[in-house]
Amino acid sequence: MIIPVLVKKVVFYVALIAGWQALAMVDVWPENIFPSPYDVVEDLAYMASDGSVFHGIGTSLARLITGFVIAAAGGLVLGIFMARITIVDQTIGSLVLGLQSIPSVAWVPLAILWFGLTDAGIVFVTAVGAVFAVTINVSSGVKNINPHYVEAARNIGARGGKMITGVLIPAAFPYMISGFKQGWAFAWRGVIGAELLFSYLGLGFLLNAGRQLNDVSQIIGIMIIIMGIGIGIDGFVFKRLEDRVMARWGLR
Amino acid sequence: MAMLESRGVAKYFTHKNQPMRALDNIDLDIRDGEIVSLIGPSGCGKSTFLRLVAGLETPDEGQITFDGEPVSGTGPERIMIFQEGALFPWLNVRDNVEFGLRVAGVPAEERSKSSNKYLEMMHLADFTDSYIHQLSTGMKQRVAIARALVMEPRMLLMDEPFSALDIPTRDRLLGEVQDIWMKTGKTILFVTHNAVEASVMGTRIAVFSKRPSHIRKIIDVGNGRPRTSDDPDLVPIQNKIRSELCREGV
Repeated sequence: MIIPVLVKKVVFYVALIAGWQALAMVDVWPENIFPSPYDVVEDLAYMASDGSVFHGIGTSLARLITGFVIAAAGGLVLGIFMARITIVDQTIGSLVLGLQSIPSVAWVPLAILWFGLTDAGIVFVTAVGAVFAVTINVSSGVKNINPHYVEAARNIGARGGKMITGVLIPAAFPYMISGFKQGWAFAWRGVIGAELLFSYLGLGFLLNAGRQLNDVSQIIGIMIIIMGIGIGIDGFVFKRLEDRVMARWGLR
Repeated sequence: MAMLESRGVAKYFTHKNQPMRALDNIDLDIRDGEIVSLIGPSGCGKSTFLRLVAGLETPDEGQITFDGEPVSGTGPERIMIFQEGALFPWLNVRDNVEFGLRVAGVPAEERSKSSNKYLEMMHLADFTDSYIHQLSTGMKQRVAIARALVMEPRMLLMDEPFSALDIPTRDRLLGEVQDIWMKTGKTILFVTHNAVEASVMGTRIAVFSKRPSHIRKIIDVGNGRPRTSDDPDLVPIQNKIRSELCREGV
């Protein structure tokens, strides 16, 4: 018998939560160290009723989107330059690879000194954590374009900006989506990490507040929200975009 | 003066860090309204010569002139049709065909008038909204030809356009390209490695030698059209092509 995937998933999560609840109920660890799922839901409901969780989600998403848009735009431009101009690739390209290896939270001290404890500082960390992943993917996407597309377009008159917007970007788009997807994932990690260290509003701040208040259920609740948003945007926004592009190109 | 004149054209490639002479002294005149087939052993550089005419590459020696002007870069009067079509998968058939007009800033109304004409001519009217992957190889080449024709080029440069097609589809397209030629009088340079295609298409056939290549022989076929691949009058010409190629040791 073939069991539908959805059924398997539902059974798994129900069992996971039931096991967790059971483990909490046998009182191996004190409640304030190992809360039950019920405690977590209760805590989330409280944070929902006073609006703090929505405020946190809104703040983090606003920073995330701002940082991601900056990273996507910057990575697009830099990636195209790297792919099309050899000297840029040989010089700036090697620096980009190096910078990509720096975890985004490692930018936090610099961001605090440059921007202070502000939104701009957190957005900076978010953007800088994502921009190089986007750049590298865009660059390899543009480098892998079938050269006949470019030649055919040149032959029928495409030059400069029209070559970039009419051919290079659409031709490399399937690659770019995976770059944006990766950039998004780095941005999400970056924004939460930065908020933890800046401790200035947002979901990362709520995590930190949970630690200071010894409130483990708040910490777990916020972590579940962070996971949910990550899965949600990946599965809905990027997956759909990818499916649509792949279908049009006949790649799937 | 011929429309296209190639004088002493040579082209080198680097192979394992050694310069390799691919084209050696190509002299060829193409007159306005001719179809000239270029045939030769594979790797002989006939496609390279086509790319030089298109302006996608520049000769290392010698010169190619078009209407007396040296060819430098690509131009809308010489449009290349690639072996695989090189159609844009992110655009539908109509947008592929209109691409060149769009980048030239032609207004929408004029664009669709012009694309309709050639979509009709290439029997693509029912497929305008299709995406490229939904088309057969033969239909793709029709789109590639329509995309070239909307630019109103004077010369079509066809690089083994039918080599990936099955025989009936190829024969139909050989007929259609001759129809287009009779209607529009375009000059056509037709690269192929197939003696049948060369003899059906060419008013003249230029046989390339192997590398470093020059033009070994020019065979006159004449002007009777349309011709078909089973035309018995073409058999002696095909045999002549084959014997020229055989003498090259291919």
